[in-house]
Amino acid sequence: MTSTTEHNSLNVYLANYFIYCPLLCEKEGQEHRKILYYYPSNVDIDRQIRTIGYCEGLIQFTETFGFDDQCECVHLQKTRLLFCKVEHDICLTMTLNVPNMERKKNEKSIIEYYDEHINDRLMLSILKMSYRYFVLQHGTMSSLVQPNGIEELKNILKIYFDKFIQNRLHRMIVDTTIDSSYFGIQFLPVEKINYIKIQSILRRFELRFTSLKETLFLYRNQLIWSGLNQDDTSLIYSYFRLHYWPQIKTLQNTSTIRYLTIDTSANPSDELIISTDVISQEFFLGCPATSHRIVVININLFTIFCIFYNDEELSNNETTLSKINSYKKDFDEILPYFEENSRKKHFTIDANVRTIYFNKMNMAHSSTVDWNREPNNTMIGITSTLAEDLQWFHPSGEIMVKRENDPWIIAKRSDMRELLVIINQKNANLKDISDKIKQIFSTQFNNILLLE
Amino acid sequence: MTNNQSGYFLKLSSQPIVFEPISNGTSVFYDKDNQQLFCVRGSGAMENTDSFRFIRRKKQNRRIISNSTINENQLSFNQEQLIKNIENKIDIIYKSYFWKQFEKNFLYWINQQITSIDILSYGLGHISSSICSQYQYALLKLIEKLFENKIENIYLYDPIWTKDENNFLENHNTYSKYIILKENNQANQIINRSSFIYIPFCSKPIHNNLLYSNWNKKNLNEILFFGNSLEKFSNEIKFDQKKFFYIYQATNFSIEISLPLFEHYINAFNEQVFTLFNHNIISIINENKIIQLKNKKNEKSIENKNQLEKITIEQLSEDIWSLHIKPIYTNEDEIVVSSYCVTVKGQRHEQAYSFRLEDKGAIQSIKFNPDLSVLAIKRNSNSVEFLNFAPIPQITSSTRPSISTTATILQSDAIEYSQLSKTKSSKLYDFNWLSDKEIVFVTDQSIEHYLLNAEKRTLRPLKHYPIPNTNWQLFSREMNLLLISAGSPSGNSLIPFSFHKMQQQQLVKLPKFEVDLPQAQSIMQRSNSIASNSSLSSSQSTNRRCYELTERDCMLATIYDKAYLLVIRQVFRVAGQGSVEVVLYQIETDHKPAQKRHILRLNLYGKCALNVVDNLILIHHQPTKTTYIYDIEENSTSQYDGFQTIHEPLLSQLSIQPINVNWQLASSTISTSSTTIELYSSNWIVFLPNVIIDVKMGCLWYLSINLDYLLDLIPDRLLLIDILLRRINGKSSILTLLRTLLTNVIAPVQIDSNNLSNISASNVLDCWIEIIDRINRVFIENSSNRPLLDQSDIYSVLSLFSTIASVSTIGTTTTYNRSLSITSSDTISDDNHQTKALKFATSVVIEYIRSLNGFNIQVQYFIYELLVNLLVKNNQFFQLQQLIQYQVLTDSLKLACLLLSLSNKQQPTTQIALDMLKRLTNANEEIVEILLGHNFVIEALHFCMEHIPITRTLARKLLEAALKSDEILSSTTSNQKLLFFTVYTFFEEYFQHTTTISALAQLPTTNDKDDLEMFKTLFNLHFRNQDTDVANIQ
Repeated sequence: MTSTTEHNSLNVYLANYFIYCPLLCEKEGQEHRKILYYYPSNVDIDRQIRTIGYCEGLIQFTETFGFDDQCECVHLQKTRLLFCKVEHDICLTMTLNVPNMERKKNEKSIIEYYDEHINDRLMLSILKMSYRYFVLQHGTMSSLVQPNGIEELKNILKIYFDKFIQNRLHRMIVDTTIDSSYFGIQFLPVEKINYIKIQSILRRFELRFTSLKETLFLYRNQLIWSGLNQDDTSLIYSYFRLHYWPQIKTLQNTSTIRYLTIDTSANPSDELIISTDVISQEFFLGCPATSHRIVVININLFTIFCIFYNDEELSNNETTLSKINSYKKDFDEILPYFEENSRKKHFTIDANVRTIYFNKMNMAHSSTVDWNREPNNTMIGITSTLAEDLQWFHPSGEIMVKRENDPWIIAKRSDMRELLVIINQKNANLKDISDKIKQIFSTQFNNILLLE
Repeated sequence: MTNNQSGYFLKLSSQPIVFEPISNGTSVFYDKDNQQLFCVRGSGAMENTDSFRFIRRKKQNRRIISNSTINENQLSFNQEQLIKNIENKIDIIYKSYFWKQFEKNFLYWINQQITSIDILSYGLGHISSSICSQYQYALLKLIEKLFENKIENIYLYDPIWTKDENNFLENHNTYSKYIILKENNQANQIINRSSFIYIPFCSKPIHNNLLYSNWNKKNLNEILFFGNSLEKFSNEIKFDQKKFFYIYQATNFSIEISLPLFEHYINAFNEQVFTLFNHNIISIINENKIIQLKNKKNEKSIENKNQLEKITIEQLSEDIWSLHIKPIYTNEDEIVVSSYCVTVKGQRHEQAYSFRLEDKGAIQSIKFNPDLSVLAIKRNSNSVEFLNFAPIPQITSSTRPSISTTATILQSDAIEYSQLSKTKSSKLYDFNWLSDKEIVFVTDQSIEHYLLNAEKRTLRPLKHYPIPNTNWQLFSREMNLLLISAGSPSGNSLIPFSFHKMQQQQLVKLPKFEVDLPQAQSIMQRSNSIASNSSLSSSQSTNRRCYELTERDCMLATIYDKAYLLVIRQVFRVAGQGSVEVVLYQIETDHKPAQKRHILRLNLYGKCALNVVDNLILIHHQPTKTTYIYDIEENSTSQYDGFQTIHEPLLSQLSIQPINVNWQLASSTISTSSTTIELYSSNWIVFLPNVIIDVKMGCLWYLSINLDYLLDLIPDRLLLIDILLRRINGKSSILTLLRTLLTNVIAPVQIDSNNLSNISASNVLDCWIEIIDRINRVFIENSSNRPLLDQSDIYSVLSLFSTIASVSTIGTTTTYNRSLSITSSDTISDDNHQTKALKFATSVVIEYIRSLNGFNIQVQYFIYELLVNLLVKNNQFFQLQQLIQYQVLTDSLKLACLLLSLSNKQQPTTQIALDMLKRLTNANEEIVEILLGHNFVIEALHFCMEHIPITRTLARKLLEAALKSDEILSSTTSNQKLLFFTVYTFFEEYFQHTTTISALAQLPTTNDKDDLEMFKTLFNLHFRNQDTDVANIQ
């Protein structure tokens, strides 16, 4: 709530956010038509048109150089422009103010801009995600235009993004870390036997409903099973972490079956609606995004997303309830294992080593870095930069970096995997670190093939 | 024949083992332990008149036998006694109703004859020992006495007569007109005048020869037969019209007059008839009666037999009269043989054997030892004769598996040796072969255990167990069990002996136990042979056996690997309403008395017989001609009352599949083609485990069960799977069951099924989970009598999932540019169905894997392959990744290769495959290959350094790969053989460092050297000259 107004010049903050569609402007003088959404809304319309025109120009200009990918970001001294083209001809743009600091130099006050404090890769993923969250709840923009017309779309966009930017986007931009930028999935390690048991329960459960498409199964905030494809899984998972999890973890732990929905128009603290009756919510999933009904079931710390093709079957509340209730016993049966598992989980890890692991292939992500406890701005910057640099390596590469008084940071890429290791061993030399890394790989990552 | 195979649960083996049907002159013995059937032909057997009866008598209470034949046989030939006996018998016959009728008919005929008559008598048998023969002889004497003035000559002949008997007959009849023929003229006797031919219980050839010898109208008109019915002969199923041509033709015009039962001794004249050919002799009223009778018979008799129309002798066409075929008989049909011809047929050897024995009196019991080298024969009540046989000629089994009709002739060494029962004055009941060399005699006072030495032809007594008052015995070699009923006169006190449990040549006495007899008002009915006796004798025997446990009501069987004594008993729970119970006593070997464990209830009354097939107990109820099936391990049909488990039938009122017997296949004769068999016939004799013998028909079947029939009968799939899993060959039915179960979901057929609700996917999956767990449990237990379904069996069912088409990939390939167009709903709904089917299939396979894991069975690769293919078809790569991640699919080289082959642009599975190979730790070579395949040369080099011993071959491989990928790269970037440079310098340095040790150890062949030389020149060409400066700087 507060973040909108308070601008700490040392932090990155959102200057504007707009969505436009060049195709809607057919003639000169109709430029205002192409604006679908503009934040902040109090900006003069001419200024809006000019900013958009400016961005459009930049994109078209860079296209003439014939790069494969279109221009995604423009670094300016004071601001950073980020573009994202969606649905073929709609463009999302976000302008960020570059952190700055006033300094006295030669009795003149100069404002220093810290361009490197903004990481393009991180910000772009936020921008893309903001669009995907929208699609998840409302469907693609083009599909919204078709039945209702442009004005309706504009309305929907306004309602949604005003709320989203106020409640979420500001925080996301400020709090972004390398971990959050992956929008990856944390898988819960489960023993094979128990895993198959869960499979068995879920599959029997799925077959009970003819219109049930797939399920996602989570324990606490970690995923155990998803029947959806990778993109949808990571989207729903991120959505879960954003909206459901903060509320669920504060809920009282009862063994009754609860049904959850999210009201995004409400304040973040009370957007979660809990019911003991089956309630569903519309999600747009798949490619192209089509409407599905989602029932979110919560038993203890299990959360099950049930994705239905339609709500025909759900309309009969009682039979649905009884069908779901008949599986409660099964879930209760496997619960002790998970409780046990989460308790004993904390194996001793080297206190000086932090790892971040991300596998682009299956979106698996794990991290032992606690960004709240180690608020080292420079380190965040370095890790993000290193992660960005890793993209240039194919198929593998390794960078080891150390700055004075900073820990060693090792970035490694192996095919589709990214691995960042932070070793707080300040006096170690390169040889020591290299050995240490080898040791870490052979203990913590012994079940995968890391190319060198 | 409307229904197909699955129409009946019970089936008889399609081709029965055919043996000489009971007529006269054949006895049949069945040896349960060897599964051999003995057919004894010849004079010795003839004495028993009716082999069927003989068998039954064998099973009857011993006392009958001991009172009659055997005792007398034992007595030294006492002429005075015999004369007394015969006179006594003449008296009995004279007073009987039978005689009154006989006399009336005979008188009528004799009065018609112009001249005096001759009497020809053949095959009377041992008058010294056989009661039958004595009666028959007595009847002859009676005729002689009463019609003396009319009789010209009496010809007597029987080749089996002993010297004593011949003497006796001559002496006894000195004064009269007896002519005892000495020569065997094969009954080709031409009559001189009107003749009464007295041939009770003689065989077909004798009848046929007599007819042939007198084959003209005049002679035939003057003949009166008393003997077997020609009609009956010709109605025999295997009747050979050509061989017995004259019998066949004679039935055209013959007239038969049947006689009432001879009640005092039924066997003496049972079913013997007058046969004559002169229609004028018989009164018209009488004839009508007879014809009516015959018509009735014809109706009953088998339809497809060409019944010739009845004509008089004059109407018979002349050609037939002019025909003059001398009957030719094969060895087997020899009319009178002085020795027994024994045919052995059995399942175990699938071959018929025949051999001859010297005639030394009627055979009471005959059994081979297990390897068929020694034959034991019991002919009297205190000794057993042995006969060694040459090893059985090895039949080339490839020729024909079916029972060949030509019997192999076995050669005995013709020296019989015998063993007397040790206890004098005891009666030997029976003997049993424990093994090839061990034999046990059971007498009324003891059990004697002998060791046989076939070479020396001696027996050495091993042990002698005195057991007073033995009633009867049961024996099963398979179960290593001998059960003796002894002590109590009611026969219900039983002593089991087990043998060969611990060691050879040991017989262990187990604690004795008592079978509780039914309540006083109940009546023990004879059972286990469905055979019905004639009413009179049956009621007699019933009364006699009121409070007894008899051999025929008891059986030994192994059911679910436990030894049981099965006792059939009739009980009256409600007054006037009887029911049958089968009580199972479990005989334990650990020296505890046998326990009453199970009671099978059948709410019907009447004769019953038991079979045990595949651990199912089958109760055949003869009066209703139905079978009831019990499974003592099925809980749903049983209830435990604290002491015993009481069972209701699992399946009720089943009947055996009707069967035709094709005689053409069964024998070489060219008679009628095939006949329907009367099921549950009263002529059936049933042996455990699954043998059914129809003695009249001469057929032995094995009863089998058709499990597929259950698939339709039992709707409860779980009950069904339990039942099938207890059947040794339930496998194929289980597979069918699974297949239909799964097909119902993935390819539902609308027409089918009575309960549609049951085949929803989720119900089927629930069902599948239960079923597959049970199947695997049985598999893990690995017990011998259960069907073991391994993974390839289940796979054969699961592979039907391969018919599901894969889901179109449109969904994943569409990008946003398609978003404005509408996907046609058609493909979506079609895809929906397939997705459902694939999801179901995946679930089924995962459940199978879960079950296998639960039982710690290692999952075979092909199951994984199936799962992977299903997931790929449904575009569920992400799910595949998850399953591998959680180790649901166990790592293996094959699986890794499969994943590699699946890898494509959208779904890179190479990473998973590589990880898997790494975890396998023995697939490093493969990893290098894959890396090189992706042109990851440097990565491959790094990997090699750590995991693979570096050799020159490896170096060459890497250098080649480096050059290749340099080429590829050079097309896009300004690569100057950078990879080659790196790899080469590495190896150059490496080999320089290690030349002394490892490189010498594997001295390169000249070829290899040349190869590396080639790289060297290439390297020098590109880099050396320019790089000299650089080297200097360093």
